Amino acid sequence: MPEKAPFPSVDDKKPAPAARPMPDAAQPPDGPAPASPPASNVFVAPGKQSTPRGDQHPAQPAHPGVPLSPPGIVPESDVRLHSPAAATPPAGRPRQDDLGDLPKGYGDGRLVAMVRDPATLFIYWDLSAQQVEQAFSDIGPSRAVLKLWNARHGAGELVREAEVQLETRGWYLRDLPVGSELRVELWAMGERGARLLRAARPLRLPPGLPSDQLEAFYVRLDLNQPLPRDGIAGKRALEYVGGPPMEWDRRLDSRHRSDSHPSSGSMPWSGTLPNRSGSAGSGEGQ
Amino acid sequence: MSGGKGALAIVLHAHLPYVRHPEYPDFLEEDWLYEAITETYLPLLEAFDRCVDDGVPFRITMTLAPPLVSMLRDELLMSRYAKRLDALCELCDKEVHRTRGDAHYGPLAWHYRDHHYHLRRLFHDRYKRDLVGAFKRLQDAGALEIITCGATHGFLPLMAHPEAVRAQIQVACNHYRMHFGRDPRGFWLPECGYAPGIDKFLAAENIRFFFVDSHALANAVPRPRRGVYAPVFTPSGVAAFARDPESSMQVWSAETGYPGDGAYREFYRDIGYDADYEYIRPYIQATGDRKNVGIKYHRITGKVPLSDKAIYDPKAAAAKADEHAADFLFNRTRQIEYLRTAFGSGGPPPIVVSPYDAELYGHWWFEGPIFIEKLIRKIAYDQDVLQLQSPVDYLAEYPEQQVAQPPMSSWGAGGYSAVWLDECNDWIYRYLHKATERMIDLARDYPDASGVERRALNQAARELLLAQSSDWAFIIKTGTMVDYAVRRTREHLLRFTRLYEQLKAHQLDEPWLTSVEASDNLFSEIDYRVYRPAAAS
Repeated sequence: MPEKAPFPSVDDKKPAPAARPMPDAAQPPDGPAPASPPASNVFVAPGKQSTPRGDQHPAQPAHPGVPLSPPGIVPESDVRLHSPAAATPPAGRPRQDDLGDLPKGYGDGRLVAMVRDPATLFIYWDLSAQQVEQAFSDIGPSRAVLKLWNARHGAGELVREAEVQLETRGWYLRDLPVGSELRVELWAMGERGARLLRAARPLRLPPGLPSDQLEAFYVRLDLNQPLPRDGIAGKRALEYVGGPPMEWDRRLDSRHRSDSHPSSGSMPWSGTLPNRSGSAGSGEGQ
Repeated sequence: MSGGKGALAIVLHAHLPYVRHPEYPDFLEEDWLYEAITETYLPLLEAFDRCVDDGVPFRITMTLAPPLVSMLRDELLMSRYAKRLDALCELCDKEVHRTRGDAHYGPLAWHYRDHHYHLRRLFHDRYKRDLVGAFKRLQDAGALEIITCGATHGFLPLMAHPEAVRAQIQVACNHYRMHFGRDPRGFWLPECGYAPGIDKFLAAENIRFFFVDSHALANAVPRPRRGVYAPVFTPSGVAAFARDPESSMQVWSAETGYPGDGAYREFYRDIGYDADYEYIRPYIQATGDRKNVGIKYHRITGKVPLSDKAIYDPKAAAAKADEHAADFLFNRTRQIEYLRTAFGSGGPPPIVVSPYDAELYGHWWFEGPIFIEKLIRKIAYDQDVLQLQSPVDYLAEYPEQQVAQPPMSSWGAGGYSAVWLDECNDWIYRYLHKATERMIDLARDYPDASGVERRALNQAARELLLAQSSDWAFIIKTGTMVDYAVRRTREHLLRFTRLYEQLKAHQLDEPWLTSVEASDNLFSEIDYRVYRPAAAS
């Protein structure tokens, strides 16, 4: 039986698990990003917003504890985490900077592609009204299109074409070929012609898989010597005795492990140290 | 390897976002620092010092991120912390009085009183309110290898400009030199965020090693022959060490990790919420909102409602930490023996790298510092299979390693950028990229500024760095304290923008600049020219 608490009235409603591992599945298909900052009125007026009655335990404590990462793996206590709470400044006026608000955009003709994961790019653009107008003039009924080209073998291979709404100013392109080197272009496509609005710098998606290049090169870099200014190149192959253990690739796949939360005893070398009472070492609550 | 069949590298990454609000007498998010000092940094320091005093040999690698170092050496924050600790001791006295005669809670109240009075003596008498100095002494004694981190913990793979990456690294290294009196040898990439090319900027600072998540080496090109159990030299010559998945899970796992054991202290049951309101009122938020105060009388117990938590037993919890340290060591020795056999005897022994956020130990897992100390002692005396090493020790002993190129990666959920680049937080990047472009522009326009212009340029660099902190995007994604993270992102960007516009117009508002310098006061040594265009470097 649990001990009786020394204080009255504890509301033990289980808080929302805000810090659970981030969902990776069920991503929507290519689609727009919100791409706008939250409204400037983000501050909650000072007050007792999280404590309806002074003597009552709020269901969702305002205090989240020190933020920790990695966010995908959290201690047991953390998964019972509470929900967001406003960071309410105490009473009293802060220094008034009159800083205004962030602009919606800069209209500087920017197109930027960023890697989210091995199969997903986030692309944002920042175009002036004049740039848009010029691009779409005289081409008849038209649409804005993102084109992804394979950048490794010239500009010949079109990987993906996606119609976008320019006003969203950002777009996610998903299910792309992992490990590919891509160049993103934003086009105005009309019935009477097409114009390139902007091109982003080429980028490369991570491979997401172990390399099939197995040739190993080794170099010796003594700590008491500065690193070579122009980097290093493999000098010679060394053949160490012994190869990688069986099922090496699978066991090195940390994502598999993180997602499935296996017990710590699944490795070939794993064991359980009996405790003094002979039960599992990781104890109760496991 | 002077002894044993392999190496174990324990890495504790101590980082907090820079939170300092002199404009308020009391600010909730400053509690992150105060709680981490009380629950993590002081207990860890004491555990390390006790081992050193007892002559126990050990090597632990520890990041002290630049914002944390700056806060720990900030007189305003340390004064506020001292007051906070005084208040906590006062509350402990009241608790002893309130629970007198209670056979269960009375002894616990005494336990907390003794604990916090002891911490106060440590803070003032032993460490003289200088925890950075205390960590430095442990490094000088050879027990710790202190490494640095991105200047403000910016997530480097999403920075569109090489100058921004260089600035995060160079500012951090200069800051380290100022506080630790030598060059850093290792670097914690914020969130283990790596992308090809970042190592080049580390090499420019003569950094010799950094860490990546497991899949970064598993998917490196060519495929590393020893997987995550040996480092690789990246093309710049800086070594990349990878996180061992198993030892990480044993501590981090939400379901099977040690910190979830029922004997350990329950984080969420705190008298800041349990106590009578008028009684606890002087120790909670100035607004009157309740908050954790650090006195927690219950243990995790199991998956039961907070009201059903059983009473905490410090001795039983310490015994459990000892048991878990033995279990952890048992599994590491078996792991290393297995790997050593698999690798054969022809090459270097395996190294198992186990990195954790330092604040897990003590703050989230109250008994974590006990676990660490027990583990250190058991490794020293109870086995001869493995040796605690820092990566730099391993590289000194085994300077010949495979060359490979890890891919872009991080240790966040999914293993890439998805935590910091998501529908909820992707809006920040267009502003960060624009501000970076403008900062580079300023560094080009002002190749050698002086006087108030130099101050403004340096402050602009500080504001940009602060806006880049990965903590803001992370907090927005996790949904805790979102408004504060949004506010910080916006404020630093807007302050940067104002400085930029004033510099462009040659119309500096010096009184305002002075007030901003007083608020966002980290990196006194910064030189804005770190943002000079890369082509001109």
